[in-house]
Amino acid sequence: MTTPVLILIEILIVIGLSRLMGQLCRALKQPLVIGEIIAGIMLGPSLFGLIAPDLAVTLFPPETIPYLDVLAQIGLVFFMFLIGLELNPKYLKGQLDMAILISHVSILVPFALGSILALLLYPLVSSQEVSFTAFSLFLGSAMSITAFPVLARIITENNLQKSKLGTLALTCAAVDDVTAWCLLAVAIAVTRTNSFVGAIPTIVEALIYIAFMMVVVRWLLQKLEIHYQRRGKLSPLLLAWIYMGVVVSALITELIGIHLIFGAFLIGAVMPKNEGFVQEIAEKTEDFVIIFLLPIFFAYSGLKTQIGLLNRPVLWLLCGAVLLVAIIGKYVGTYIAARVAGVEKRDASALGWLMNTRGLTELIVLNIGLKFGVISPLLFTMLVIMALVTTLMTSPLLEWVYPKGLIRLNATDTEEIEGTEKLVPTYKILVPVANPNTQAGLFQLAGSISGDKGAVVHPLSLIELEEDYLYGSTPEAADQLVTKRREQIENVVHTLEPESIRKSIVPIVGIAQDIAQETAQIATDEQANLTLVGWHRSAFTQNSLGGRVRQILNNSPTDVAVFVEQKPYPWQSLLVAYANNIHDDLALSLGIRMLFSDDQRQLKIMRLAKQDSDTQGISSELWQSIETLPESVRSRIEVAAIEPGDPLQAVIQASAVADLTIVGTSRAWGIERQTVGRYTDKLAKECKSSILITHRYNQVAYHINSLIEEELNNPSVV
Amino acid sequence: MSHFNLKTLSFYAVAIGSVLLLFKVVSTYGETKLNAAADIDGSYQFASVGNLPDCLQGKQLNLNIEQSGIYLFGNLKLTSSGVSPGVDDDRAAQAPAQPKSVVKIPLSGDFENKQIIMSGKGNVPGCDAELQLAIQGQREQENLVGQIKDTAAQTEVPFVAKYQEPKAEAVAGH
Repeated sequence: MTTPVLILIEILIVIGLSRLMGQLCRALKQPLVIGEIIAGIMLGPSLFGLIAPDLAVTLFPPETIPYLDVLAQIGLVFFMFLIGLELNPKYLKGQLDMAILISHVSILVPFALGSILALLLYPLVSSQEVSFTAFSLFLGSAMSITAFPVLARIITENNLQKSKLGTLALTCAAVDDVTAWCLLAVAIAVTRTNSFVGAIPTIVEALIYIAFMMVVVRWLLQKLEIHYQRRGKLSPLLLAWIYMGVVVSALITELIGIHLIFGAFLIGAVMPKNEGFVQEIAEKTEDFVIIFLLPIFFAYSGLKTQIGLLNRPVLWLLCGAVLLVAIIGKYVGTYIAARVAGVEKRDASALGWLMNTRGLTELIVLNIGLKFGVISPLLFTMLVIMALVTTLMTSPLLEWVYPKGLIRLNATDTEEIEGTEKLVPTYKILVPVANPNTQAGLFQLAGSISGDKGAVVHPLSLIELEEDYLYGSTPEAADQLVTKRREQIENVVHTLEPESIRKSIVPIVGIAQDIAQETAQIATDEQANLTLVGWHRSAFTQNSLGGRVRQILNNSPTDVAVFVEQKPYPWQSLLVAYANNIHDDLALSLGIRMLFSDDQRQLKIMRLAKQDSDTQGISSELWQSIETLPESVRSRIEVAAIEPGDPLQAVIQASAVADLTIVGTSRAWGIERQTVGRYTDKLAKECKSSILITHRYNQVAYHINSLIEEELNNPSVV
Repeated sequence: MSHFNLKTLSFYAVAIGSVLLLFKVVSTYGETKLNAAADIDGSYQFASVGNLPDCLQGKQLNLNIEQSGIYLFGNLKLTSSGVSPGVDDDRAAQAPAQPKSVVKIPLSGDFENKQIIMSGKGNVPGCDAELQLAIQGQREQENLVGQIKDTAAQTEVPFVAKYQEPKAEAVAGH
């Protein structure tokens, strides 16, 4: 096989495995980067080289590695450009002074502990070619890293980007990023010259270059941005100039004696942060860099990672010491500084764990260290394990310190303070929607069920982000998505009738990793009485509900109703098909609730069999509730029996004169429990009216009790 | 509201001052008192070796050392020219272009007091039993001089191995 063919096959394997492991990690609620790092390690001597050494050498022969290195370096240069591009001065507003203090102390403590650890590690794992100063400076820097991109992603996924903690963490990480890169540049300069004094010219040159970039190049880039605004789009020529700028800047920093990546980072950082301009550059650059080139960097790192080197207990103990120093240093430093700056204990603790995220940034630093020979392969492996563990632990520890429910509670508190009045709802309906613009009917139905008496409807719109590093996943871009989605919902809500129900509609919009699970969690946290989902006829498949609706049905810890719209609002004539089971009870309860919200509405109950003459064949508990209904409501309920024969057909016929048919998921109507089932197709297809299919989860509460109590305490205007 | 009050500023100053002082003390101590291991990693080709067991006769021996401070990892690479001595195989004899067979015996050990001590075990085609090797040696100029011992067979032979300039990077295995 020729080398190009071999390299293409290698890339194929790398991207495939990287995607696979990334998706696995997403399923385990871990950042994608963890999967990509693990994929790289798997391809190296730690796994592939161990179980199939001959095949590993055949697929990744030594002569192809330099080519992978070149691709990885190019990927890294453009990735660092993207990181710089993402570094928005917006993050440095607001709590900057507090963030600088926390960030710098969160660097100082692990750096100090790292330097002390160097006293132990230097005689054991370093070489006499490396000076102690360079070694300890490098180890200290490696301990102090926080990965801004991974942290930003974790914050976005936890919907913390607008919270005090989130903005503080982002500012800290941004300051940390800049400081850590400066520290690393110094470490590289010292490593190259092997002394502090020798590194001074390099440091001075680097400072001059930074000043040049911030003044002259920034001015030039602003001109470029004006040109972009005039053209209204990023032309290939303009992009070519920008890419050439990235490469030139990278080469200059390499010539100065720091590293290629600093130049790329700098040009990204000084780029004018016009939203459209930055977004277009990022979108044109990131797909190829992040999907194609970055996994090659992970694979290259993985090929250098040899977990097999840790082949005796003492080495694992040293690895444990590295891990401990890194975690304690970062956590304690952040926590103490945050407390001194007046941050609450819980927030300070969450910040401490968030700042421990090292991820990809650490890997970049370690590869530089390995290439310069300042860290040995053994120490490199220990530090890769440290990077992996510290990134892996962030999400669960954040959840432990700051559960998502609490985050939402805080967010809701803020909304309520901003809102006109604070609601203490007696009944809650959760309405998960993907595209609010097509869900006006669903919101209208939720409003009709909730009424305007102390109930609240939460349209719930969750946005799933695709990639860790894409511009669309940055807190700022995610925030724009959330704001846009919220506006869409509010626009739909403004069309709802009667006007009085609009104020009881409070949207919940956020970012989620797993929409079905997150919906279930929100339903639990919000103590929702009902989850109402929409179902388009076109989404019907052969025998079951499709995709997300089905996932929500299976996961929801509340009563669920599925709405298929056929006739528009107002639904004046309601039909409840009743066979006396818990799902039908729910159907009837919802029908009765709808009578309260419109005094023109009529409800016809078609019962399957009359078993008890006192209760008209309706369950005794529910019948008792019905008997306590005000006359104005009860008088609009009619009970009719279904002729023996085909009940499903009878309901379909009756639905011809109804606006909305409400049925439980019972076999009597041909609707199976849990999945609703294939008979639903028939009912939903042939039913002449809109249809609402109910599935009872809660065995206790009736949906009309709160309304009846309200009615008794405060007689109706209906 | 600015958080830079006297308390935070003094905290900041004390924190930075302490770390700089600590780093100065640590680096001065490290530079003067601590010594890291000398570089000995690389590939060494056996140039002269005493009486090896029969099954190793005619094979090219290379000691590959990957060093991380005092910790050594590597392998003893045994390369045969395609036909093992004592093996009567006409087809092999008639096909000199046949790929060389390579066997690697993984080794690990330490580098202390300028001495390398590495050991490992592995099976080599043609040898009756598993080889249990212990290599002890020291760097003399560009060469590695020492003894190679098969602890199972209780044999020990002296060797001199010459340092090989690195070619391409090794990837898998160690």
